[in-house]
Amino acid sequence: MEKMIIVDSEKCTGCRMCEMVCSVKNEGVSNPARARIAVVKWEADGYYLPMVCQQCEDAPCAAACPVKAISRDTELGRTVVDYDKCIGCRLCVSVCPFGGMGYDTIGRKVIKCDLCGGDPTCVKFCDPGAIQYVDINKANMKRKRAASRNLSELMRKHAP
Amino acid sequence: MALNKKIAYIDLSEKTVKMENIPLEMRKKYLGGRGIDAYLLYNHCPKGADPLGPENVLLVSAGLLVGTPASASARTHVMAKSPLTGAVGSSNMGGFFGPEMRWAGFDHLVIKGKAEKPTYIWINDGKIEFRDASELMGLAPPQVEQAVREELADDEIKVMSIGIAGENLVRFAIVETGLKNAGGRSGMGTVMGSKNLKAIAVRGTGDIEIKHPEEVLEYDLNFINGIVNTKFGRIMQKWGTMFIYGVTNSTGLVRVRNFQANQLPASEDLECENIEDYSFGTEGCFSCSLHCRHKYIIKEGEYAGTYAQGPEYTSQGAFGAEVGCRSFNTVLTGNHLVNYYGLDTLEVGSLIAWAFELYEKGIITDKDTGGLKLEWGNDDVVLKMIEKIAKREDIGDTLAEGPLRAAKKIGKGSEKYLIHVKGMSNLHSDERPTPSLALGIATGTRGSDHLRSRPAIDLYHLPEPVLRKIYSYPVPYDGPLTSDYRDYKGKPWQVFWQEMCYMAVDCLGICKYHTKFLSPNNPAFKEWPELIKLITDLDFTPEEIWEIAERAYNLEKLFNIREGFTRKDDALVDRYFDEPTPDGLALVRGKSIDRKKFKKMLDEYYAHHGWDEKGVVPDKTLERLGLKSEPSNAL
Amino acid sequence: MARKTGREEQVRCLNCLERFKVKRGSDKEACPKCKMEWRISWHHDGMAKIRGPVWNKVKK
Repeated sequence: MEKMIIVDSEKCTGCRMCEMVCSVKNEGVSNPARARIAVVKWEADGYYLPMVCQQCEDAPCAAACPVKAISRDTELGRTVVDYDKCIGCRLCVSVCPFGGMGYDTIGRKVIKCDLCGGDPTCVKFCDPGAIQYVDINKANMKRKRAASRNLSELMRKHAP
Repeated sequence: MALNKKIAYIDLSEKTVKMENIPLEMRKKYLGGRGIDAYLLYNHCPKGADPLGPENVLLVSAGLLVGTPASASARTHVMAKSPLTGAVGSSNMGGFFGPEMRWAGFDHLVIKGKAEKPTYIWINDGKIEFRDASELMGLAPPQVEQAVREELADDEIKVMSIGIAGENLVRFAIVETGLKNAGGRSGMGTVMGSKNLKAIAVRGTGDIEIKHPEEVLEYDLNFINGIVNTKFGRIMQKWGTMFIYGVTNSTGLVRVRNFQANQLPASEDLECENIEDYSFGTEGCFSCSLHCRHKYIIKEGEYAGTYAQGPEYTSQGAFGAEVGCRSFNTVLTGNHLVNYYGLDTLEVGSLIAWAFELYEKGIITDKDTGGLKLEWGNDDVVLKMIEKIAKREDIGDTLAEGPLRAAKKIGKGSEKYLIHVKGMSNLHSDERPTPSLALGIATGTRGSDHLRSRPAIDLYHLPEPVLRKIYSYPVPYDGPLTSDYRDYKGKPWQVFWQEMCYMAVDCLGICKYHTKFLSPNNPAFKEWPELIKLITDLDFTPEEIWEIAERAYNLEKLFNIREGFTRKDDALVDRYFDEPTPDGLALVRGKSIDRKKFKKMLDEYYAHHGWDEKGVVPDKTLERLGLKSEPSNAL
Repeated sequence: MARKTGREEQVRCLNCLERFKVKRGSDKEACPKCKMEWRISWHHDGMAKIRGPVWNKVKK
């Protein structure tokens, strides 16, 4: 069963717990600069959007890599960096449209979300449920149901 | 590692910065945060210092576990000699400033002197510099944050600043970060204003090392679940502290019209459920799963369309029950205004209510108020008063001096209407029926205080065995404990226990809502050692954490004693004893604090602390806590 | 992370301090012991709390 991380920004409270546990899990430190996920805040009007690598099927980072260090892991549905091949040119950081690829200046390497090997830590710690790890086949069904709720109530109201 | 963050001594007069390591010995004796700050205040602020003068020291700190996998490990502590009371000034704020300060490499700032021109301090990955703040003067704290981010071209900079109230040296001005994270009590913003320090900006990309990352993630998940999956955890997630109004006003534990009543009837419009009409979500401080403040839009009036955050229980009192106003929109607007101007919601609300009673009694008139009619229930006037205080206009200039100075200026017996302890106003709770809460506000080191010793769980009528399990750990206690919140027996121990609990949490930098404050089931002394060990490799037993709390608390007490505070200042105003409650449920009606029983509680409270009957700390206790040689200037 | 707290669908009367169960979704309930009426509000999954008294029924 292939899963994906799905973000519901309306539920995000901006607490940045995800950033902290990501850096603790991956680097053994608390440091958002070394986290693979970031909560982008639009503080003037209160919108918080967790942003993370989208594990693209046809990833620009993989296409751009001059040494073919980035490839697709079909089992977990993720795009992974082979650090044995990576030369640290950071072309992938430039081409990613989401800012999903970052550069860790302390660890001296490019960093991106790898779904914690199939058990994402950020998902475990997000109590509001803004970040969830769901079966791709069913991922959009919940959204569709939530979006249809109001309309279904309207229909019930006007039932003959 | 988590222990290698530095202390920076900043002299605004000389424009110098000195950075030092924090000795491990200090961590073992005081942990961090408010604990080390208590030490620094006692050692660096000279006796008799003018709180508004250059020799007052402004301390800013992040607790030991701030920025690490605990829960709501977000808190910044600010301390100085208070311009409001002349006693310990201390205040705690949430948000994201503390963690950023640690990623930037600092745990403690010690700020002395006075800048020649408006200045802000810029802390950036280990470097500290002074920058010109003249373009920032007159701006509200959120605007300061935005302006600094633009100036330094980084949207992730966190700023702690003062509003115009701090610039105008209103004696209860706040420090604030973000839209509403306020270090509100005791005038810490005033101290910043007196130093010509408009803001402190911080940005950090450094590590906080975690000693045992895998184990701490596992422990933390359980730690957090233990907080979130409690009745009060879920209530806080939904309503924030506003839920308290549903309990206190329904019972008759709310101060109305400045002590003239203890319940505001027919106030459905002040209830927390009203927030649903205005809110578009909730927000949390760093690493907090309770996310207890709402993001809302004001709907009516002059400020319609404004986005603000909160409000807290305090605002339901300040702009609602205390002044006989019954409009949720007013509560929302008042909350926005105090955060915008940089004023303590609580102090503002209490002083406005006091001014209203003085007006009612004819002690002040239209001449003093610039024509404003200070009549109960007048929402517009309440909101205008906030601005008058921030800008020091008319009666606002008098009220800006704080309760005691304002009463002295007005004269005519106005002082006897004040509700304060040591010159700091009280929350809108009416403690006449609740001796434990009354004792707590009377004995607070920073004045009337509902956050540093409040045994809120005393209101829950918990069975005695449950109380005993909580209150006889980690130090044994076999005295009485009573489930009835109207009882006097056993309450001094509860107040003492809670003081230690909140001090410990303030040293760690964790939010009080994540310990035994509103929920009896939250973590405390039993759970903290493992967390500290997994993050820092420091070993403390629960008893040692208690002792650290006691040590730091005694330093706060010693500071006050040095400044001339005595037992007579650990007191309640006469109204608590002389005026019984007129309203409320049968179980709280007709209640006042009994003078003899209060005296006995105070005696017992002092005894628990190891103080003599005058409230002085004897040598025996100083020796036990290793405080005999203070001030020792080790840091 | 959501788990039950064990306090769903019950509130404590502020007048007589007795805990009592409330009907799911109900917005007004009387305490079975002292008969005082309370307005109820709901949040999360089946969690009830007392919103306030029924003011016109409160003794002056």
